[in-house]
Amino acid sequence: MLLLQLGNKRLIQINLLMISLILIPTFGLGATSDDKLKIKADHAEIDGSGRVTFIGNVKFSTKSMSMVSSKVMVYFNKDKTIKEIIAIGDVKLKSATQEAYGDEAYYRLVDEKMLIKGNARLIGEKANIQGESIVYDFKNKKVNVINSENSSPANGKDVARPTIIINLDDDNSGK
Amino acid sequence: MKTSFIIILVASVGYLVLTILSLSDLGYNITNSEPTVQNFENIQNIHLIEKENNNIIYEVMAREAFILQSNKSIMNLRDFTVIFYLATGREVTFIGRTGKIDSESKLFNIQDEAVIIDDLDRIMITSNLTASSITKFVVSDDPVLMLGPNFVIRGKGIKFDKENFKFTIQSDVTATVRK
Repeated sequence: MLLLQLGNKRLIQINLLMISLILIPTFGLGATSDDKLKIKADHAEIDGSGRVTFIGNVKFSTKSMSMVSSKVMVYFNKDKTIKEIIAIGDVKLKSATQEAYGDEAYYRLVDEKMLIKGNARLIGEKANIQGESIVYDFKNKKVNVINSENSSPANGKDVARPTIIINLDDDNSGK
Repeated sequence: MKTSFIIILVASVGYLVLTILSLSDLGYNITNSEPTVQNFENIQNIHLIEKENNNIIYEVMAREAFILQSNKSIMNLRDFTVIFYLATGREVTFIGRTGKIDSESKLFNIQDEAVIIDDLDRIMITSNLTASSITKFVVSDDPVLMLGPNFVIRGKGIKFDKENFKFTIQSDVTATVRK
Protein backbone atom coordinates (compact mmCIF):
# COMPACT_ATOMS: atom_id res chain seq x y z
CA MET A 1 0.00 0.00 0.00
CA LEU A 2 1.41 3.36 -0.98
CA LEU A 3 0.16 6.55 0.65
CA LEU A 4 1.15 9.97 -0.55
CA GLN A 5 1.45 12.93 1.79
CA LEU A 6 2.80 16.35 1.11
CA GLY A 7 4.50 18.58 3.64
CA ASN A 8 7.91 20.00 4.42
CA LYS A 9 8.12 19.67 8.21
CA ARG A 10 10.41 16.62 8.18
CA LEU A 11 12.56 18.11 5.42
CA ILE A 12 13.56 20.97 7.71
CA GLN A 13 14.66 18.40 10.29
CA ILE A 14 16.65 16.54 7.65
CA ASN A 15 18.50 19.68 6.61
CA LEU A 16 19.39 20.46 10.24
CA LEU A 17 20.68 16.90 10.62
CA MET A 18 22.87 17.24 7.54
CA ILE A 19 24.36 20.47 8.88
CA SER A 20 25.08 18.83 12.25
CA LEU A 21 26.82 15.92 10.46
CA ILE A 22 29.24 18.33 8.86
CA LEU A 23 30.07 19.79 12.28
CA ILE A 24 30.72 16.44 14.02
CA PRO A 25 34.35 16.28 15.13
CA THR A 26 36.29 13.05 14.49
CA PHE A 27 38.10 13.32 17.86
CA GLY A 28 41.63 13.65 16.52
CA LEU A 29 42.16 10.49 14.51
CA GLY A 30 45.77 11.36 13.88
CA ALA A 31 46.74 11.62 17.53
CA THR A 32 47.75 8.62 19.63
CA SER A 33 47.33 8.89 23.36
CA ASP A 34 47.03 6.17 25.99
CA ASP A 35 43.26 6.47 26.25
CA LYS A 36 42.87 5.64 22.57
CA LEU A 37 43.10 2.25 20.93
CA LYS A 38 44.18 1.97 17.32
CA ILE A 39 42.88 -1.09 15.50
CA LYS A 40 43.51 -2.51 12.04
CA ALA A 41 41.67 -5.53 10.64
CA ASP A 42 40.53 -7.21 7.45
CA HIS A 43 36.89 -6.46 8.23
CA ALA A 44 34.59 -5.40 11.04
CA GLU A 45 31.09 -6.23 12.22
CA ILE A 46 28.96 -3.77 14.17
CA ASP A 47 25.87 -5.36 15.64
CA GLY A 48 22.64 -4.06 17.10
CA SER A 49 23.76 -4.47 20.70
CA GLY A 50 26.60 -1.99 20.20
CA ARG A 51 29.35 -4.60 20.07
CA VAL A 52 32.09 -4.07 17.49
CA THR A 53 33.97 -7.14 16.24
CA PHE A 54 37.19 -6.88 14.28
CA ILE A 55 37.99 -9.98 12.24
CA GLY A 56 41.09 -11.17 10.41
CA ASN A 57 44.69 -10.10 11.08
CA VAL A 58 43.64 -7.80 13.88
CA LYS A 59 46.37 -5.42 15.05
CA PHE A 60 45.53 -3.54 18.18
CA SER A 61 47.72 -0.90 19.81
CA THR A 62 47.83 1.69 22.55
CA LYS A 63 50.72 3.96 23.43
CA SER A 64 52.23 1.34 25.75
CA MET A 65 51.31 -2.03 24.20
CA SER A 66 50.30 -3.84 21.06
CA MET A 67 48.34 -6.99 20.39
CA VAL A 68 47.63 -9.19 17.40
CA SER A 69 44.84 -11.75 17.17
CA SER A 70 42.44 -13.40 14.74
CA LYS A 71 39.38 -11.73 16.23
CA VAL A 72 38.83 -8.89 18.68
CA MET A 73 35.46 -7.95 20.16
CA VAL A 74 34.90 -4.59 21.87
CA TYR A 75 31.96 -4.30 24.27
CA PHE A 76 30.60 -0.97 25.48
CA ASN A 77 28.89 0.18 28.68
CA LYS A 78 25.59 2.03 28.63
CA ASP A 79 27.51 5.30 28.92
CA LYS A 80 29.36 4.28 25.68
CA THR A 81 32.73 3.77 27.36
CA ILE A 82 34.53 0.47 26.74
CA LYS A 83 33.44 -2.31 29.08
CA GLU A 84 35.52 -5.25 27.89
CA ILE A 85 37.81 -6.30 25.07
CA ILE A 86 37.97 -9.96 24.10
CA ALA A 87 40.58 -11.35 21.72
CA ILE A 88 40.16 -14.86 20.35
CA GLY A 89 42.71 -16.86 18.39
CA ASP A 90 46.51 -16.65 18.42
CA VAL A 91 46.74 -13.78 20.83
CA LYS A 92 50.16 -12.09 21.03
CA LEU A 93 50.71 -9.16 23.36
CA LYS A 94 53.80 -7.05 23.37
CA SER A 95 54.99 -4.22 25.59
CA ALA A 96 58.42 -2.62 25.88
CA THR A 97 59.67 -5.28 28.31
CA GLN A 98 57.34 -8.27 27.99
CA GLU A 99 55.55 -10.51 25.57
CA ALA A 100 52.55 -12.72 26.28
CA TYR A 101 50.87 -15.39 24.21
CA GLY A 102 47.63 -17.34 24.55
CA ASP A 103 44.57 -18.67 22.78
CA GLU A 104 42.25 -16.02 24.20
CA ALA A 105 42.53 -12.75 26.10
CA TYR A 106 39.88 -10.92 28.16
CA TYR A 107 40.51 -7.35 29.26
CA ARG A 108 38.11 -5.74 31.74
CA LEU A 109 38.53 -2.00 31.99
CA VAL A 110 36.72 -1.58 35.31
CA ASP A 111 39.53 -3.26 37.28
CA GLU A 112 42.21 -3.07 34.57
CA LYS A 113 42.80 -6.82 34.56
CA MET A 114 43.58 -8.98 31.58
CA LEU A 115 43.10 -12.74 31.58
CA ILE A 116 45.07 -14.70 29.00
CA LYS A 117 43.69 -18.21 28.58
CA GLY A 118 44.89 -21.35 26.85
CA ASN A 119 48.59 -22.13 26.47
CA ALA A 120 49.36 -18.87 28.18
CA ARG A 121 53.01 -17.81 28.10
CA LEU A 122 54.72 -14.80 29.52
CA ILE A 123 58.17 -13.88 28.28
CA GLY A 124 59.87 -11.18 30.29
CA GLU A 125 63.38 -9.82 30.42
CA LYS A 126 64.30 -12.23 33.22
CA ALA A 127 61.72 -15.02 33.03
CA ASN A 128 59.67 -17.24 30.79
CA ILE A 129 56.48 -18.43 32.53
CA GLN A 130 53.92 -20.83 31.19
CA GLY A 131 50.49 -21.72 32.56
CA GLU A 132 46.91 -22.40 31.70
CA SER A 133 45.99 -18.82 32.38
CA ILE A 134 47.79 -15.61 33.12
CA VAL A 135 46.12 -12.64 34.78
CA TYR A 136 47.68 -9.25 34.22
CA ASP A 137 46.72 -6.72 36.88
CA PHE A 138 47.66 -3.43 35.28
CA LYS A 139 46.45 -1.33 38.22
CA ASN A 140 48.55 -3.13 40.85
CA LYS A 141 51.30 -4.10 38.39
CA LYS A 142 51.06 -7.81 39.19
CA VAL A 143 51.00 -10.94 37.07
CA ASN A 144 49.14 -14.01 38.30
CA VAL A 145 49.93 -17.33 36.59
CA ILE A 146 47.20 -19.88 37.22
CA ASN A 147 47.37 -23.62 36.60
CA SER A 148 44.26 -25.76 36.72
CA GLU A 149 43.85 -27.99 39.80
CA ASN A 150 42.66 -30.79 37.55
CA SER A 151 45.63 -30.71 35.26
CA SER A 152 48.00 -33.68 35.59
CA PRO A 153 51.45 -34.43 34.33
CA ALA A 154 52.03 -37.09 31.70
CA ASN A 155 52.76 -39.90 34.26
CA GLY A 156 49.32 -39.51 35.82
CA LYS A 157 50.51 -38.42 39.28
CA ASP A 158 49.00 -35.29 40.70
CA VAL A 159 51.53 -32.59 41.30
CA ALA A 160 50.86 -29.39 43.18
CA ARG A 161 50.81 -26.57 40.63
CA PRO A 162 50.50 -23.41 42.66
CA THR A 163 49.43 -20.09 41.38
CA ILE A 164 52.40 -17.82 40.82
CA ILE A 165 52.05 -14.16 41.60
CA ILE A 166 54.63 -11.83 40.17
CA ASN A 167 54.94 -8.25 41.32
CA LEU A 168 56.12 -6.28 38.33
CA ASP A 169 57.19 -3.34 40.52
CA ASP A 170 59.74 -5.47 42.42
CA ASP A 171 61.58 -6.43 39.26
CA ASN A 172 61.73 -10.01 40.62
CA SER A 173 59.71 -11.72 37.93
CA GLY A 174 60.62 -15.37 37.63
CA LYS A 175 63.10 -15.39 40.50
CA MET B 1 17.59 47.81 -26.71
CA LYS B 2 20.20 45.71 -28.47
CA THR B 3 21.96 44.98 -25.12
CA SER B 4 18.67 43.88 -23.51
CA PHE B 5 18.01 41.54 -26.41
CA ILE B 6 21.49 39.95 -26.02
CA ILE B 7 20.98 39.52 -22.25
CA ILE B 8 17.59 37.86 -22.78
CA LEU B 9 19.05 35.59 -25.49
CA VAL B 10 22.02 34.52 -23.31
CA ALA B 11 19.71 33.91 -20.31
CA SER B 12 17.37 31.79 -22.46
CA VAL B 13 20.23 29.69 -23.84
CA GLY B 14 21.64 29.26 -20.32
CA TYR B 15 18.26 28.14 -18.97
CA LEU B 16 17.94 25.65 -21.84
CA VAL B 17 21.42 24.21 -21.15
CA LEU B 18 20.67 23.89 -17.40
CA THR B 19 17.38 22.13 -18.14
CA ILE B 20 19.14 19.63 -20.45
CA LEU B 21 21.87 19.00 -17.83
CA SER B 22 19.23 18.54 -15.15
CA LEU B 23 17.40 15.95 -17.27
CA SER B 24 20.70 14.21 -17.98
CA ASP B 25 21.34 14.05 -14.19
CA LEU B 26 18.09 12.22 -13.69
CA GLY B 27 19.20 9.42 -15.97
CA TYR B 28 17.24 10.33 -19.06
CA ASN B 29 18.90 9.37 -22.30
CA ILE B 30 18.55 12.62 -24.18
CA THR B 31 20.07 11.43 -27.45
CA ASN B 32 17.86 8.35 -27.79
CA SER B 33 14.43 9.20 -26.47
CA GLU B 34 14.60 12.98 -26.65
CA PRO B 35 12.31 13.48 -23.66
CA THR B 36 10.68 16.76 -23.04
CA VAL B 37 9.52 18.33 -19.81
CA GLN B 38 6.12 16.70 -20.39
CA ASN B 39 7.72 13.21 -20.13
CA PHE B 40 7.92 13.26 -16.37
CA GLU B 41 5.95 14.36 -13.38
CA ASN B 42 7.65 16.57 -10.82
CA ILE B 43 6.39 16.47 -7.23
CA GLN B 44 7.65 18.82 -4.51
CA ASN B 45 7.90 17.91 -0.80
CA ILE B 46 6.86 14.33 -1.20
CA HIS B 47 6.10 11.99 1.71
CA LEU B 48 5.54 8.32 0.88
CA ILE B 49 4.66 5.56 3.30
CA GLU B 50 5.00 1.92 2.27
CA LYS B 51 2.92 -0.49 4.33
CA GLU B 52 2.67 -4.26 4.54
CA ASN B 53 -0.03 -5.95 6.65
CA ASN B 54 -0.80 -2.55 8.12
CA ASN B 55 2.78 -2.15 9.35
CA ILE B 56 4.93 0.65 7.98
CA ILE B 57 7.90 -0.89 6.14
CA TYR B 58 9.52 2.37 5.13
CA GLU B 59 8.73 6.00 4.59
CA VAL B 60 10.30 8.42 2.16
CA MET B 61 10.49 12.18 2.52
CA ALA B 62 11.95 14.11 -0.39
CA ARG B 63 12.22 17.74 -1.39
CA GLU B 64 11.61 16.74 -4.97
CA ALA B 65 10.58 13.60 -6.85
CA PHE B 66 10.45 12.89 -10.57
CA ILE B 67 8.37 10.09 -12.06
CA LEU B 68 8.93 9.19 -15.69
CA GLN B 69 5.64 8.84 -17.54
CA SER B 70 6.93 5.88 -19.55
CA ASN B 71 8.05 4.00 -16.41
CA LYS B 72 6.07 4.95 -13.35
CA SER B 73 7.68 2.26 -11.19
CA ILE B 74 10.87 4.33 -10.91
CA MET B 75 10.86 7.44 -8.77
CA ASN B 76 13.92 9.70 -8.87
CA LEU B 77 14.49 11.57 -5.63
CA ARG B 78 16.30 14.75 -4.66
CA ASP B 79 17.32 15.70 -1.08
CA PHE B 80 15.58 12.86 0.62
CA THR B 81 15.37 10.71 3.73
CA VAL B 82 14.25 7.08 3.84
CA ILE B 83 13.44 5.45 7.18
CA PHE B 84 13.26 1.64 7.27
CA TYR B 85 11.14 0.21 10.10
CA LEU B 86 12.37 -3.31 10.82
CA ALA B 87 10.29 -6.21 12.10
CA THR B 88 12.32 -6.16 15.33
CA GLY B 89 11.01 -2.68 16.12
CA ARG B 90 14.29 -1.01 15.26
CA GLU B 91 14.81 1.61 12.61
CA VAL B 92 17.53 2.85 10.25
CA THR B 93 17.55 6.17 8.44
CA PHE B 94 19.16 6.83 5.05
CA ILE B 95 19.83 10.35 3.81
CA GLY B 96 20.85 11.23 0.27
CA ARG B 97 20.93 13.99 -2.30
CA THR B 98 20.01 11.96 -5.37
CA GLY B 99 18.52 8.50 -5.52
CA LYS B 100 15.92 6.19 -6.97
CA ILE B 101 13.20 3.89 -5.73
CA ASP B 102 12.05 1.14 -8.06
CA SER B 103 8.74 -0.26 -6.83
CA GLU B 104 8.92 -3.21 -9.28
CA SER B 105 12.41 -4.53 -8.55
CA LYS B 106 12.10 -3.39 -4.90
CA LEU B 107 15.47 -1.66 -5.18
CA PHE B 108 16.31 1.60 -3.49
CA ASN B 109 19.48 3.37 -4.54
CA ILE B 110 21.36 6.40 -3.24
CA GLN B 111 23.79 7.91 -5.72
CA ASP B 112 26.68 10.11 -4.62
CA GLU B 113 27.02 10.61 -0.87
CA ALA B 114 24.83 8.57 1.45
CA VAL B 115 24.41 8.90 5.20
CA ILE B 116 23.05 6.08 7.36
CA ILE B 117 21.97 6.68 10.97
CA ASP B 118 20.86 3.83 13.20
CA ASP B 119 18.89 3.94 16.42
CA LEU B 120 22.09 3.70 18.50
CA ASP B 121 23.20 7.08 17.07
CA ARG B 122 25.89 5.50 14.91
CA ILE B 123 26.45 7.38 11.67
CA MET B 124 27.88 5.89 8.50
CA ILE B 125 28.93 7.94 5.51
CA THR B 126 29.48 6.25 2.15
CA SER B 127 28.27 6.58 -1.44
CA ASN B 128 26.46 4.61 -4.14
CA LEU B 129 24.32 2.62 -1.77
CA THR B 130 21.77 0.04 -2.87
CA ALA B 131 19.06 -1.46 -0.67
CA SER B 132 16.99 -4.43 -1.72
CA SER B 133 13.69 -5.34 -0.09
CA ILE B 134 14.09 -8.86 -1.50
CA THR B 135 17.60 -9.71 -0.24
CA LYS B 136 17.13 -7.62 2.96
CA PHE B 137 20.64 -6.22 2.46
CA VAL B 138 21.91 -2.70 2.00
CA VAL B 139 25.29 -2.59 0.27
CA SER B 140 27.95 -0.23 -1.00
CA ASP B 141 31.41 -1.05 -2.34
CA ASP B 142 32.70 2.48 -1.77
CA PRO B 143 34.82 3.74 1.14
CA VAL B 144 32.92 4.09 4.39
CA LEU B 145 33.36 6.17 7.52
CA MET B 146 31.50 5.07 10.64
CA LEU B 147 31.15 7.40 13.62
CA GLY B 148 30.07 5.75 16.84
CA PRO B 149 29.60 7.44 20.21
CA ASN B 150 33.15 6.45 21.17
CA PHE B 151 34.77 5.18 18.03
CA VAL B 152 35.59 5.97 14.43
CA ILE B 153 35.94 3.18 11.89
CA ARG B 154 37.09 3.58 8.31
CA GLY B 155 37.05 0.88 5.67
CA LYS B 156 35.98 -0.12 2.20
CA GLY B 157 32.52 -1.39 1.42
CA ILE B 158 29.59 -1.77 3.80
CA LYS B 159 26.83 -4.32 4.06
CA PHE B 160 23.84 -3.91 6.36
CA ASP B 161 21.84 -7.02 7.20
CA LYS B 162 18.41 -5.63 8.07
CA GLU B 163 17.08 -8.87 9.58
CA ASN B 164 20.00 -9.28 12.00
CA PHE B 165 20.67 -5.57 12.38
CA LYS B 166 24.34 -6.02 11.61
CA PHE B 167 26.70 -3.74 9.71
CA THR B 168 29.78 -5.30 8.13
CA ILE B 169 32.66 -3.19 6.89
CA GLN B 170 34.03 -5.39 4.17
CA SER B 171 37.79 -4.64 4.01
CA ASP B 172 40.75 -2.40 4.91
CA VAL B 173 39.42 -1.59 8.37
CA THR B 174 41.17 0.97 10.56
CA ALA B 175 39.59 2.14 13.79
CA THR B 176 40.17 4.42 16.73
CA VAL B 177 38.33 3.57 19.94
CA ARG B 178 38.32 5.72 23.06
CA LYS B 179 38.70 3.94 26.39
